[in-house]
Amino acid sequence: MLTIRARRALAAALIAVGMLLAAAPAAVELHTHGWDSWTVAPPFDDN
Amino acid sequence: MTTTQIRQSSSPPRVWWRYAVWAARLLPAAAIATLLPSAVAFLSGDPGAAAVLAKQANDALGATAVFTLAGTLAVGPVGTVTGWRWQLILGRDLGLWTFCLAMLDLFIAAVTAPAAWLDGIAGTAFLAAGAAATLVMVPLAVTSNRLSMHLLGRFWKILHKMVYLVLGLVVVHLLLLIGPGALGPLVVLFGPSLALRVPAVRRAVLRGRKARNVPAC
Repeated sequence: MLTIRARRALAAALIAVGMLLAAAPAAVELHTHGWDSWTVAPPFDDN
Repeated sequence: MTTTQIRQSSSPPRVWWRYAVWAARLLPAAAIATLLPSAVAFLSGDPGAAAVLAKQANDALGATAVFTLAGTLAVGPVGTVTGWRWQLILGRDLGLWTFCLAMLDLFIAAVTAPAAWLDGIAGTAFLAAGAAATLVMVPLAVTSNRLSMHLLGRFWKILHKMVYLVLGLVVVHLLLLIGPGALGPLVVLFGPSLALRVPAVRRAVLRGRKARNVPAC
């Protein structure tokens, strides 16, 4: 049985993992190519 | 009206509800099935198949994932309004379907990217928002089981409130992809579920249901 502190730490670690995973692709892309190449519009958008 | 009669009137008929529940659990698989011809063409090296597969994956998997996310968020509020509990089992299934469909969409976007795979999932702001919405679901999908609920205790619910972050990222993804025109359908899909999650609204609905004497089933 986990203590309350261990449960809190586990939940916090899982939230941190989720945040890192979410931020990773954009962070790597921006680090590699910079802001200038990052557009809002999708490549197949005709507008 | 006896308790049994009330229960029968507020529950779906027992004869068909199991089939309906199973159909609802398997329905999102249809989105994957529609991609099979394009996937086979892509794997056999047909020229132009990558673009077709990417477009179809975006349409079929992305749209279905949005609907399953809406279903996941609607499961609780449906219980608030009707008192039903039989649909609660669908919450986890629809959540896992959302994750699986979004991951498959992300995978196809990566492997069919014309340039580097990273450009396929984060090359533009709308792609990055979609990828973020998908990847932030990883801890939620991993902990969608009884063992995790047991291990995390009350923190499990706190962790799973990250579904609102997922929803926010999906809204950003769709607004960047489609534009302001996406706002109307999004409000229709998610508005009622979110409104019924506001504690004051939820309490008012529960009070109204109690006044009508409709018990939970």
